[in-house]
Amino acid sequence: MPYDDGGLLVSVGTSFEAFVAARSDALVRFAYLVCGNVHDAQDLVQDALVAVYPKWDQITVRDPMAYVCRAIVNRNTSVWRKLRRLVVTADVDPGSVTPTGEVDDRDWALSLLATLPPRQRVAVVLRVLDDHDYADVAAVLGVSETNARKLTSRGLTALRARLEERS
Amino acid sequence: MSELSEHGLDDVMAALRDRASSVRGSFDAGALAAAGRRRARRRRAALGGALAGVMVVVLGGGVWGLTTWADQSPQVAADPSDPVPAPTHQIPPVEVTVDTSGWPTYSSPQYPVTFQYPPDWTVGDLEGEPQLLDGCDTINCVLFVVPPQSSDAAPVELVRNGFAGSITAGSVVTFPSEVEVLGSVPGLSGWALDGQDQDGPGQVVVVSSEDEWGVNYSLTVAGSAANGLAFGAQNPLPDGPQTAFLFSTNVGNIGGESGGEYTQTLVAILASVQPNPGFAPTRPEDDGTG
Repeated sequence: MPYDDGGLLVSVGTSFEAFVAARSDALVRFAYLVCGNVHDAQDLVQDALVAVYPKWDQITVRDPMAYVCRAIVNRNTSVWRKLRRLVVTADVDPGSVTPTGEVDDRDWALSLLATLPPRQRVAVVLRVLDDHDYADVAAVLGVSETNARKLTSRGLTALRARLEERS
Repeated sequence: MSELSEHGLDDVMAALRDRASSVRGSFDAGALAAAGRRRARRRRAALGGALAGVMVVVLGGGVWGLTTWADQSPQVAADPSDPVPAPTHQIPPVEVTVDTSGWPTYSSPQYPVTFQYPPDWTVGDLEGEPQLLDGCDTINCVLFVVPPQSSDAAPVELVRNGFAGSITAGSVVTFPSEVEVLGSVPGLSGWALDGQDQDGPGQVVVVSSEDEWGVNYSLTVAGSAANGLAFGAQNPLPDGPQTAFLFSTNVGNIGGESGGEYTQTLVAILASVQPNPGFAPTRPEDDGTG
């Protein structure tokens, strides 16, 4: 997975410390778009990094970014986390409302993204927002490349439909 | 409503990129690595415990076998401390339509039950970091049973509440909707988290319930609205917060659409749960790292 926006192309032998230093922002952004909450995003990334550290030597032989992203996705879709969020999300993010009471465009877009089923959301984030290929999407979601295409397509179709509904 | 709704998908994506660009991550790699090492040590200790448990079971079984062989007319008296009380409900066993012969069995001293899973699935490591978050709580003590990459099946997760008391009879997690009872799990009884079985353990059943994320398949106690359960001869919930569990999966979440053969596989995994005689959970601080 060619995550190179942070100046480090993750490759075989990359140390855990170098990976964390270079990829933390990208990981938290990914987690944020997937879960929609900054605190949950940081929690997800931290939890995923701790979990992958003991296996780091084996992970770097393949693709650590995909592995960590998949760990984040698994945690985000955990049934227990989901139930826990039913309570947590009752809190209103003060940043989502402007002083005039209008919803910020960016938060409105985030809420639109959040209407997608989790797998479609991940597919759209990786393929469209992060510009990864379908093989990357498939690797993170643990599905075939064909299904990664289907998920992305369905997600975009759903977003377009919701945009039309609201226009 | 936002002005974005008047524009296209490109505007939505641009707004999302803009929103995400303000998010930063700042982690201490050294602290994460230290936490990871502690986790690895705990895993090794747990593995040792599991092996010891297996030895105890094997040796105990041998002694029991010799004893019963020597006594050809055993008089089995009812033992009030019998660890498997009779269920209070009689629901037919859940129907399993996939061939589970040859499935490996997962057993860990951290969990009161064992279960079987397809040979091409993998059971992940016990995930959880008691040092970073509030005790080894529910969101951190999770075991994922993961399907092969080529599959659209959903992972199954076995959640232990750890030792922070996150799931207890006083903090019940209930199903979000009506549940459908698919059938009971033979040989398994448990205690409901909502306390509806105070007079005795109830029959453990596989249920399904639907929410906006998809269809959930879970183990629970018959008649209970609580998504989770506890195991023990006596009700362990009031005094043993570490004994509450969630064994569940969500189809349509990470793992594909509802229906199909893999749904039957998920139900078969849940239906294979049996008591674990080697259950001996360790508290996070017991591993000497805390």
